Amino acid sequence: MIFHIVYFLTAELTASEPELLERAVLGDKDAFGEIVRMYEKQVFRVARRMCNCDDDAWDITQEAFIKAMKAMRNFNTEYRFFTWMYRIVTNTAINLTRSRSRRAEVEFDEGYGGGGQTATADTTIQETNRDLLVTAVQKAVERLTPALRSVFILRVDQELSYEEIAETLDIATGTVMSRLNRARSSVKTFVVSELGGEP
Amino acid sequence: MICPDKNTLMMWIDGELSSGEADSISDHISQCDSCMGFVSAQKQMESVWRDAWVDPADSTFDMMRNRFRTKVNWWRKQRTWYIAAALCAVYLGVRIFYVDGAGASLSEMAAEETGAAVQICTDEISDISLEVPREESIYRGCEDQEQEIRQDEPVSGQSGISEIEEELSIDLSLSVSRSESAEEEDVLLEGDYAAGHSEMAFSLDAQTMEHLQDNPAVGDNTEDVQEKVAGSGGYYRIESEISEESAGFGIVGGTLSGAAGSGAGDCGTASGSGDTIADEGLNDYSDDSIDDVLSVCPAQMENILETTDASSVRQYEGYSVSLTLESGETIHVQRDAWDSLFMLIDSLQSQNYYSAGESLVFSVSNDGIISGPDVLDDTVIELPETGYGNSAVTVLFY
Repeated sequence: MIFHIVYFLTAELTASEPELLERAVLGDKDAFGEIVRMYEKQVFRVARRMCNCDDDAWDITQEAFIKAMKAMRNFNTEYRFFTWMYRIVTNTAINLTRSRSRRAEVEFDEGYGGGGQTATADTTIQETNRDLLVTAVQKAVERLTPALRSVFILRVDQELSYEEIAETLDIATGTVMSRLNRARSSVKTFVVSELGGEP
Repeated sequence: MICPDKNTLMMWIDGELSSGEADSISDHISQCDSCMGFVSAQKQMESVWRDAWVDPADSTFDMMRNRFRTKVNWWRKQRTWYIAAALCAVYLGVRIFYVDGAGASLSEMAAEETGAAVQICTDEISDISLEVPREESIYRGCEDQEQEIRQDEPVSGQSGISEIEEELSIDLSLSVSRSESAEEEDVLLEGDYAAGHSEMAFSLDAQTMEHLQDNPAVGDNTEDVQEKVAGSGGYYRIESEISEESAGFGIVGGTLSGAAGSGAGDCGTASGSGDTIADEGLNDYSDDSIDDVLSVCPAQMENILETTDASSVRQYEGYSVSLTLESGETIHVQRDAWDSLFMLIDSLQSQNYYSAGESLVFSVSNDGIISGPDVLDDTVIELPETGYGNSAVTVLFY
């Protein structure tokens, strides 16, 4: 028992991510367990941002790792694991939220307009109490469609590049940009409206 | 001064512009209040939302990992039983409920002398050993299975079958038990994990099929069999509303068990009485080896999937945890003492892994390490204290 624990600790502390991935692909469940440890917080965070419910987020996280484990043997280690993992968790979250249809998703179509027209909105945001602003943004994100929400979260919260988002969601970079612009537009419009300003 | 469009400003915020473009935009922003306001507001709005995130406590991730590990272990173990159940369903479907379409019942078969070693005892729980004579066999239903075997004999040589054999290594010799109580399982297929016997089961099926090809299918004999079996004494789960041949399986306590039906139909249906099957959901079992089973009899597998329902999962009310010391003394363990262990048990309970009356025994080393039993064999929980000697923790679900 002690030997196992010592082995586990030393082996996992010294193993790099590529090594762990190679082992996990070959069915090493200890290696996969270490990968879970490496990514669990990021995966949970994405799940939680996507569904805004702790219980659902835990379920999504667990489900995403189980899916990843089952599909691990087919994972090509030449690709980036985190984009693959992000794809699994976003798809899992989207499927869950779609199946539950918990809340109506409203997509605002308003664009930003000219610089002068957004000056009031910008001032409103800058002068708003931090907590109110966080709450307003959160509400706005919840109201995005899953497609827009996932792009917004991967960019704004996870700070992925456009290319990484495109790889994660298997869409073109141009699509990432257009969705991101629409998502940001929607969020800002809602936030300003929520804060009592004029978009 | 011409302001850049908003998309360009967004790309500048995101760092997606080339260095030359970015420098140009930076210069502009520094001189343009409007663009500066836009960029500042956008950055502020996004950063406060991003920075407001707080990770959950590490202990909740520990619990998630425990649940994950438990589910994976459970899945692996259940997958094996599920495959075994599928194999047995095929076996029973052919060997027992698709034989003698003229309406011979179990008791009639018992009277046969032609190689049939059928013994029916009417004790409270008795065993019936079936050695069905091939001459009496008539293949009925499951055309897919018939074709598969016709084309690819010997079945045991098919690609993938050897994997199943390796994974299962199950002895498919049957002992059919009956009881007086409807609550008891009716057919016990006791897999003793003896190597190589699954191959025997498949080859038997193939031989049976070979013989049966020349025999015509016959009509439904549900009532006949039901009557005969009912008249033989013990309770034998044949439901009158099931008009098709059926062989159902569940898994209880590591023993394959199930309900046997009768009649004619497509491969037979399964009435999953096993809590574990219903608990996990069979859709999880998409392993390659399952596909191999499906290739033997797809309709049978579909029936198993369709007829397993969550209502058969028993509900739990609670559990108790006790520590048995090396000295033999037993101590009731409070939740706040070993929270990690209780969190694990909670997760087991919440997912209906164990039913009332079942128990789990963890071993505890003198170092305060709790090791999981059997299905939880990867579980290691470190207790805050040491010096327990070689003791054991017993969890009793009730």
